[in-house]
Amino acid sequence: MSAHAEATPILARHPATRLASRWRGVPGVVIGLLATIAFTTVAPTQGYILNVMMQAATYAIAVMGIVVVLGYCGQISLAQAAFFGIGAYGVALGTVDAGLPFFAAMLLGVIAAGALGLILGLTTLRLGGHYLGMVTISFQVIFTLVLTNWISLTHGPDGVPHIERPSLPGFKFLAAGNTYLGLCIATLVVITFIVWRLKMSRLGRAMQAVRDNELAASTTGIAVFRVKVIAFGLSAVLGGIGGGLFAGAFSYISPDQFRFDESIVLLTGALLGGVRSPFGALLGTVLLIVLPEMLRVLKQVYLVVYGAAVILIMVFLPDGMWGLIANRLPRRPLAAGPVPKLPLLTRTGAASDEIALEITGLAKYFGGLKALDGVDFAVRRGTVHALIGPNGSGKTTCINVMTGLYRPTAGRIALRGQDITNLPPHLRTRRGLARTFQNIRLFRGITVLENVMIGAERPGNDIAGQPAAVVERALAALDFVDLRNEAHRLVGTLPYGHQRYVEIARALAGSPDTLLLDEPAAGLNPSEKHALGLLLRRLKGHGLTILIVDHDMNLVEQVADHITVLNFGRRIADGLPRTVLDHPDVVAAYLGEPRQDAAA
Amino acid sequence: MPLLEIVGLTARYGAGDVLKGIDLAVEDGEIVALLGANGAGKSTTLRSISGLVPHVAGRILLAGTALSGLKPEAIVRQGVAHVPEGRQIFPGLTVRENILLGGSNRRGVSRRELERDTDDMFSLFPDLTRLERALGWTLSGGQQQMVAVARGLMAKPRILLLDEPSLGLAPLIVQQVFRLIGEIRKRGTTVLLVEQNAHMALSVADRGYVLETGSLLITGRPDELWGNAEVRAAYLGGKVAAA
Repeated sequence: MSAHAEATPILARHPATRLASRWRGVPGVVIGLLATIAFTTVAPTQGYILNVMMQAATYAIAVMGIVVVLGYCGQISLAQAAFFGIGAYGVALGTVDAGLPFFAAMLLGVIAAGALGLILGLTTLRLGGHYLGMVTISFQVIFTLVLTNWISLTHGPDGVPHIERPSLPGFKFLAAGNTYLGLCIATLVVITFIVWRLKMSRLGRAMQAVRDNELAASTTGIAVFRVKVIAFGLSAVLGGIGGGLFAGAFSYISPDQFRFDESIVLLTGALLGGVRSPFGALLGTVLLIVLPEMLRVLKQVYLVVYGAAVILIMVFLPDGMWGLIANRLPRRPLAAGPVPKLPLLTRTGAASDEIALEITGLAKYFGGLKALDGVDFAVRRGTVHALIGPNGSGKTTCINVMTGLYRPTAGRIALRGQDITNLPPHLRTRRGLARTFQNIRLFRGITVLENVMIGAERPGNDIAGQPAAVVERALAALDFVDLRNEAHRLVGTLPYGHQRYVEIARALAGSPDTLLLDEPAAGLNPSEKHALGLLLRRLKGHGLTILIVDHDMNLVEQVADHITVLNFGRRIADGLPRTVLDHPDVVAAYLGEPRQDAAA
Repeated sequence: MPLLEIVGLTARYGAGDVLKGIDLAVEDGEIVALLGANGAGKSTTLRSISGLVPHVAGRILLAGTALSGLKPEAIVRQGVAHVPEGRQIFPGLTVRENILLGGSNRRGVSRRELERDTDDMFSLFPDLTRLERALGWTLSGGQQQMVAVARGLMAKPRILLLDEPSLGLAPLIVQQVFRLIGEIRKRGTTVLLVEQNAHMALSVADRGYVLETGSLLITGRPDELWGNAEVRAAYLGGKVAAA
């Protein structure tokens, strides 16, 4: 029986596959849609209550866009009302001026919103934080000015009246208030489901990785900029859908419905309920729309109330109202079950003279500081190569240049003979280079398992794109570092030493050829260090090449086949461990005392 | 009366107790090491003392005065300085400014005296001298650690809480740091030390405590801890024990 055939039944019965099930949540959607139809039969056909419900439903669709761009991907957008407006004007101008059918006009509006979202994203997402916020505000303000002043196209400040609901044969029933409300709610149900499922998809995990740690995301193979642009475009599309339905709901729109104020309302809805969860955002939006309508006396000061809500929630409920609810929901534990071992551990490959990773004349200057000043060394395939040296001697800089986080001032880096000097980090990862960080860089907003899954689905890995296999591979990597029982904890709640193991598991799950470990033993006690040494030794003999930076000479002696020593950015020794560690320059610059004492 | 006395300390993150009723005492002028595996509660103990983690039960007394319920900055003014794990230096300030800021708690001390004490830190850490004007973010991990320890010492505390001072430091620097910890004590500062490098920690400590999943397992002089086979195997490293 082949190994593959053995693995299949395990896959089929393993509870892990539940996490990757194609049908997850589908029963919920069906129930939601049936409930919507049932609700339609009792909903009002016109009047004030109907209007409030239609506003809440269409706004909530736009808020789902904020969940994607801000909640998942961590990019602030203060222009969601503009995309909402583009969708609304698409329907308004398309049906009233161009005489298009409702759905054709809506499609055009959504495409326009998505296209403008992509253009805005492509031009601004290289900016971070505050700047992105400023640029999106500018876009929002410009949009309002265009709506008001380009009268020949938009009808100007008077707005567009007489927008008709769907009237094609077969869709005429949607013209009634209750059925149109049903259409809005049904769309909301489906979009909420899609956004919820997105969170557990490869793309959604990539977004969350970008949100939590851009550097680590890039070195686990994620194309950071592209993921941000996709999130931005998707958010604009959802804004456009909400806006298109909004225009049909109210039959009259005008520029002041899509101003900056409304962007703030949408953002508040998301934050109030919990921007990282579609259910939270839904809850927050509905409350935010319905409450002020119920408290009409406050209308004069409603922005003050919104503002106060944002502040109070930010202070007291950083995860929104949904955070309160979600923390009280029972977590279904992941039942234990066997998974196949990491393929890394089943393949074989002895140490060889073949060179896996080579740097030549590598230099990196920071202003006048020569962090690396012409360093050469070669790491042989299947060996453990240690890079040691005093603090500030350039070891971490060397790893950062090798993985593409820094551009070298001079020199060349070759991975299995191929020049990778000018590749961005995620393309190096795609070629089998993995790393861990000295200052742990995990994706703190997601679970241990999800962190490791992101490692497993790096582009170029054999199982990338197969959800069930990715879960299994991640569990296997957690088995290897003995953290399976912590799989569903938020990674930030683990003790420091365990977080280091999660980083190693994340790297191993991607089945790398070459692994760079930056001080993996820091923060471990002697017994744990010894266990780490054993773990690294278990990795030897499987064809994995390891470059390790560490200050623990017991560990280095335990695992290293070869040692390179740096001092002030230059190589001062290179060779077999015994020779190097007894080298007088190394003792003077680094070890301080004869080795016997240091190892005692 | 001990300088620092902890009675029945219980602390909690989320659902579970991280500390389950710990008793601990540090005499004036002592160096005490807190050992244990990852997740045992060592850092939480230090964070409870300095007021960064609220505790749900128990008392923390500094020279008989209760610290419980005080804000972190008030606890610093009482003479407790905490050098946290992971350095946490200010990335946008120079090394000198980072160190100087460590003296912020000292009221009524002249600028000149603070500057002189800062100079003193550079003589303790000569490796930092050439980096005096370098910005925090440009330092390597080990250099940041030295700045963090220097910043803690600038507070002239009665008791210095050191969380993993050897983390990420080269062997030569680790030896210097521990020599320095001995030096600090000679100048009259008491030290409570959390350290994974048990060998180095017990070489300077007068006494050690071993924590296990939030409870106190054993306490004693370094030779007593070395002599306990169970502790040695679990926390001090098999290889070290053979020496």
